[in-house]
Amino acid sequence: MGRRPGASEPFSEEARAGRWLTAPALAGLLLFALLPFLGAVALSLTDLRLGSPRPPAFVGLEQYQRLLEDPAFLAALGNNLLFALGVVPVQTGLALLLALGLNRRFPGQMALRTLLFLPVVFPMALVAVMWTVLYAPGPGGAVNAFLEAVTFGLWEPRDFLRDPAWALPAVMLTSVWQGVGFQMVVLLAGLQAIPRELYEAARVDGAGPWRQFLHVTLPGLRNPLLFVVLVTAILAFRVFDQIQIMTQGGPGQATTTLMYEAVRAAFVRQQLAQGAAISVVLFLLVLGLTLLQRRLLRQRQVLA
Amino acid sequence: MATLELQGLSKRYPDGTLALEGLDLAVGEGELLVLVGPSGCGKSTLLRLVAGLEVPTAGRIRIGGRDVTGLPPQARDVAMVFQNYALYPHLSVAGNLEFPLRMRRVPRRERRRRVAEVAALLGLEALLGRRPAELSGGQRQRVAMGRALVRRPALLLLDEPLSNLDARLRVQLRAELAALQRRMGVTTVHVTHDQAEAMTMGHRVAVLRAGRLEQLGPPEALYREPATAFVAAFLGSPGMNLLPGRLHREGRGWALEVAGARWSGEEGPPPAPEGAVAVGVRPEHLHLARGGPGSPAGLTLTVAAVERLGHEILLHALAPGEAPAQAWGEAVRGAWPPTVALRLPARERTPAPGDRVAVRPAGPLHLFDPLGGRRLAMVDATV
Repeated sequence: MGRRPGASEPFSEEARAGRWLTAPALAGLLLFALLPFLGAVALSLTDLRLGSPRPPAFVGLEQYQRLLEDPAFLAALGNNLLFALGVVPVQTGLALLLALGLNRRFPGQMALRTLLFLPVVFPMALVAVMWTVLYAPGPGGAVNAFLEAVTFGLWEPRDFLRDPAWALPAVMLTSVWQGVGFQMVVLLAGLQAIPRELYEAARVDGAGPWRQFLHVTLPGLRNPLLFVVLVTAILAFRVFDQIQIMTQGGPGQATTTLMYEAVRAAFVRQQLAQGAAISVVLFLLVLGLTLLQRRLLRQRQVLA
Repeated sequence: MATLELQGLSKRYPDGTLALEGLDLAVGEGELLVLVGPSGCGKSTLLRLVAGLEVPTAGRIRIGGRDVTGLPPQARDVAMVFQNYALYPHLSVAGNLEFPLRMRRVPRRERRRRVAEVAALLGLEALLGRRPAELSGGQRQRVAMGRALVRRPALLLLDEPLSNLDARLRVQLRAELAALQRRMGVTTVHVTHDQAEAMTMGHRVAVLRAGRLEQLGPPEALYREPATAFVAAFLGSPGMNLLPGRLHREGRGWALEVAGARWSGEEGPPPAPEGAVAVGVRPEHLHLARGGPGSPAGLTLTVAAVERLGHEILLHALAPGEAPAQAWGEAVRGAWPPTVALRLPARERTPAPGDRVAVRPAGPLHLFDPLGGRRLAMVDATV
């Protein structure tokens, strides 16, 4: 490996140009990500409430302590974990199946690819409204009507978004539908990067289709899969739009999430400090996932 | 170890390209057959058909007498070395060597033993823990060979296995590979576009052109008595020179004219039908004539380039006369080298580019049908 210019010479022409070119983005990050985050950390150590006449006081980690005993926060955290545990594997598995299917040549392949990717382009708000309509209660709702048709009338229509047992899975399904196209495209690109000769070598070496998948496809997709799983996990922890539009966290606390709780704490209950504390917790969770991804990807680079 | 028989093998791709046309070929047990030809001649297709990676349009493939035409690769007991080696990037060298055994459910203890054996055979012991990305080109090539041999296949298929290596390594591995094949005694089909590999490695060589077998035989036989102008020009470095000539009766014998020079035969009919011929002569069978330009039994040529190789000198002269494109058939035209090459001893005083020299053949002249390219006769021009 030769040393890259700029990487080792901080005052080279290239490095200077690089600094200029990254400056706007860095300034943006500093202004709109780092400063607000530091602000949130600072806020979370106070007892600030919106509209309170009292000046805020420093309370140390009390907000965090309170969170640990707050059933609403714990419910949101639990929902978030359930959401991630459901959405990440289902969405990844589905995306992998779709990518494998679409990696073959067949008539209409491009059209199908485009169709499956389309939801990714839709704003989540639009998707959420659309699915709220699809989930409409009673036999008039599209999902109910569909289930009734495929079960030959055995299905009893229900109000998905107001049913404590069904609300979260319903929102999860919406999220999977919206996000699977993105993962599929990433995995499809990964599949196409696997050299054809590896499959041929495996065939000559005696591997059937299943073992080709196991020994050529999966190892070849390691990095795209890692990327897809972790990005989905991060998005799953940040889920907010569809909750806000489809269920408002209900029924009861069946579909609240960390992000939703943070917004509610800050802007509905006006407990700005508590909202800040929740977002700091959320940030740490996402940061942990990001570090894990970087670690796993770097490990791979050393091997490859 | 087994024989390989191909019978009327044809392959037409869906886009209409005819890659192979009615090919018959038999490879004996333990033989190393080299399939050689320019790119697009169908040699790689042939190998892929034998491996089972492609399905023939017509014809049969038998390995060890068993018809495998419709069988998938895993049921054929063949092993293959790919041009880019196709090593599994996530597996170590040991993992790669072990892979074909794992796929065939060989017990772990036996796998260990066989991997160790093949690693010792190829000098890979120190590399067993490395990944393919950490190996040099030559090492990867050895691992690919090891992975192919570890299973002791009935048939070993090599698809340009040396073409990704630098020249020095290629020459070294060429000899190693041939020795290894001899030691293992595994029936081998080796595909290459490199005529030197064909000449040095093959027990027999099959020259392919445009999906058809041009000639099959031991390398020296192909070199000495090429059946077609194509084989003549393809084998050898540089290949055989082809010059436009004319054969006719003269008195009670015959005469051959090539670009102003003429050779008379003794009594008797001409060795081939009268008329235009393509005259082939090897670079080592051309000499500079002492008399200088103008002597009747010599060609007068203009030197285009001189290559001093140390042990010998290659002299490239402009071909005399017009390019024979119109008179010659496609089979010969394709093989026609635009210059005349001479192989001269290094001590010879060499002319410079631009000089006019007299060139005299000393050795056999091959007469080829200028349309179909078939060899018609061989005459001795030493007289």
